[in-house]
Amino acid sequence: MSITPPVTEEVDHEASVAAMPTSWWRPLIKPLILSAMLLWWAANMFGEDHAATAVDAAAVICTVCGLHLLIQWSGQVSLGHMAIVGIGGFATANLAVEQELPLPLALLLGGFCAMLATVAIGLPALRIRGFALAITTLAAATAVSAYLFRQDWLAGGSLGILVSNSNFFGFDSQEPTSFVVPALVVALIVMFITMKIGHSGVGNALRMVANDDEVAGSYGINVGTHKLAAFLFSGFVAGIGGGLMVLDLGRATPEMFPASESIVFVAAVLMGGAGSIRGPVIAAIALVAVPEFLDIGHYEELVGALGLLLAVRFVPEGINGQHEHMVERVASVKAKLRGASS
Amino acid sequence: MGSVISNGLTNGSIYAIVAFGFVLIYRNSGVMNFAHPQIGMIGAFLFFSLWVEQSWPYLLAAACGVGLSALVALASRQLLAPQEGNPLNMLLGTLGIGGVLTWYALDTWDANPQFVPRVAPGVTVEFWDLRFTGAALLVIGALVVVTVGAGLFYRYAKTGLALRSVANDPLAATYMGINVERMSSITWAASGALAGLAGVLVSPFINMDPFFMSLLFLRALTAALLAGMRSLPLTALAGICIGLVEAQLIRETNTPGLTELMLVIVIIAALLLRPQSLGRRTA
Repeated sequence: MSITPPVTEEVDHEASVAAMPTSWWRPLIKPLILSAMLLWWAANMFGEDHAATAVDAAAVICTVCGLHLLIQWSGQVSLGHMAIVGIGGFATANLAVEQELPLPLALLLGGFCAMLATVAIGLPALRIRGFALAITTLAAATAVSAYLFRQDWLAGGSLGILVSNSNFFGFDSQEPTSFVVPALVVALIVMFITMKIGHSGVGNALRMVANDDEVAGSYGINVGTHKLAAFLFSGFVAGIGGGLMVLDLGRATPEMFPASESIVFVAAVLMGGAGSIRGPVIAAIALVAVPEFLDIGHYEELVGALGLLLAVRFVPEGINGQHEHMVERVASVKAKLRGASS
Repeated sequence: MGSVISNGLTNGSIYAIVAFGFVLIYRNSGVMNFAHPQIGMIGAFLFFSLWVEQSWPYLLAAACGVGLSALVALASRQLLAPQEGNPLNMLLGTLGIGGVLTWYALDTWDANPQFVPRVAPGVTVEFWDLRFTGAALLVIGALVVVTVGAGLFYRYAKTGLALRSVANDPLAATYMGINVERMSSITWAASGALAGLAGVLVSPFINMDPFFMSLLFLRALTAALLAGMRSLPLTALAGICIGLVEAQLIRETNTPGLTELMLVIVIIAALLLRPQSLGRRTA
């Protein structure tokens, strides 16, 4: 008589891990610790000049995240984002001065104003697409800076608008070494939200719309809503970026938002390449920081245009693409080493 | 009223000549050259340096300016050639080239406006109620010569026929032994020359700074879009209409930027009503 061993239930470890409810805070630990370190470093280590650069970078990062979502994920090219940044900036200044709102609230509502202004270009964009949309946005931006930014009710006449209030949650918004902390917090929040959208179903739907809107429509995705929503989100964060610029300088003038400078945002998005927001954020920081740190004087204005040209001509896949190449190469080298050792 | 018509005709002719450059390249390869205004600006500045600062003869200086613009356009095309199949990348690339050219002009001839004296200062022609200066007549004459000349060239010259066949069907043109690459280069050079010509001709009417051609850009673009990016005579007509309407608007009101607002509304309306004029070229 043979005793058969009791059949132990095979435990499928992978399945049990997948079935376990993932705690929502667990993936947040690493980014939060990194952010806290970054902010501590920003608050204590930045000198006057570098803090101002970091605030600039925060404003550009906000705009570039939204533009990345618009161009790379939803497939709609806007060449006139500086106009939206400007509308957000002027709206923030007006709300802070005329309505005497506290600055954080003015910043938020300024973003909403920019978002509403984006509807004017987002609605025609439902029918005008690709190449023609790029032309339309560029033309619209020219008109906004030639007409809207010369209107007294928005731009406050030839001197612009002075924001005398500088209390931003207790930080001094016109003192870069102090304002750098809230500015970076805002930029981190925008990056986090953009990332979350990218990983969500909405992000997938957007990419599907960008690929082929007829196929997306046949899968039950509302193409128009998604296209418009992409415009609205990018308008909102661009307005926040403009608000940060205005609060930092303490004034809003039309010269701060020249339509031709939109090229810098587009350059950052294209240098970043398709895919995650890692690439465009790195490119945005590089475009702002490199001229400041290298002290290249009057070559500063060249950086955006040259970056755009070189990205289009030589590296169409951008930083994200380069990163993937690198990861692949490292993996293949590792595999070779493992093969050699065994 | 007379001044509105004569100013409108002069400015409109300039818009039309700039718009020709957009139309030529778009017809050839479906590409929109956003460096076009800056290419013209570079040529105009060389003309300014030679004529005003070095006091060369007018025609020689103008020829050098136009030639430089043609060369810069050719170089831009060669630089971006690998992307020529992708209109959006070409648009972004030319935008980058335009930025680099603006930076170069700012670096070489700073941002202060330069004054260019009018050519043939004594000459004025008056008939009915209209009064044209010599410089204005030169502009209008140039538009007529370019429109008629281009029409005849495309109709009768061998190269012109080759260009048209490439525009119609590049593949079939290749099979007929036409060098498509070369035709594209010719188109870009011609377009650059037109930009340079427009820059040289408009320089007496404005204060020359590195951004002066960008002001013409939106108007020229609207003229080209209204004409469906195809026909040169229609483009000329559209340019002149825009010039006349703008002259009337400036006389009626002094709100800044009203023209730009009007043009953007026209562009959006044109693209909404006739989306086939752009983007669906190779159907």
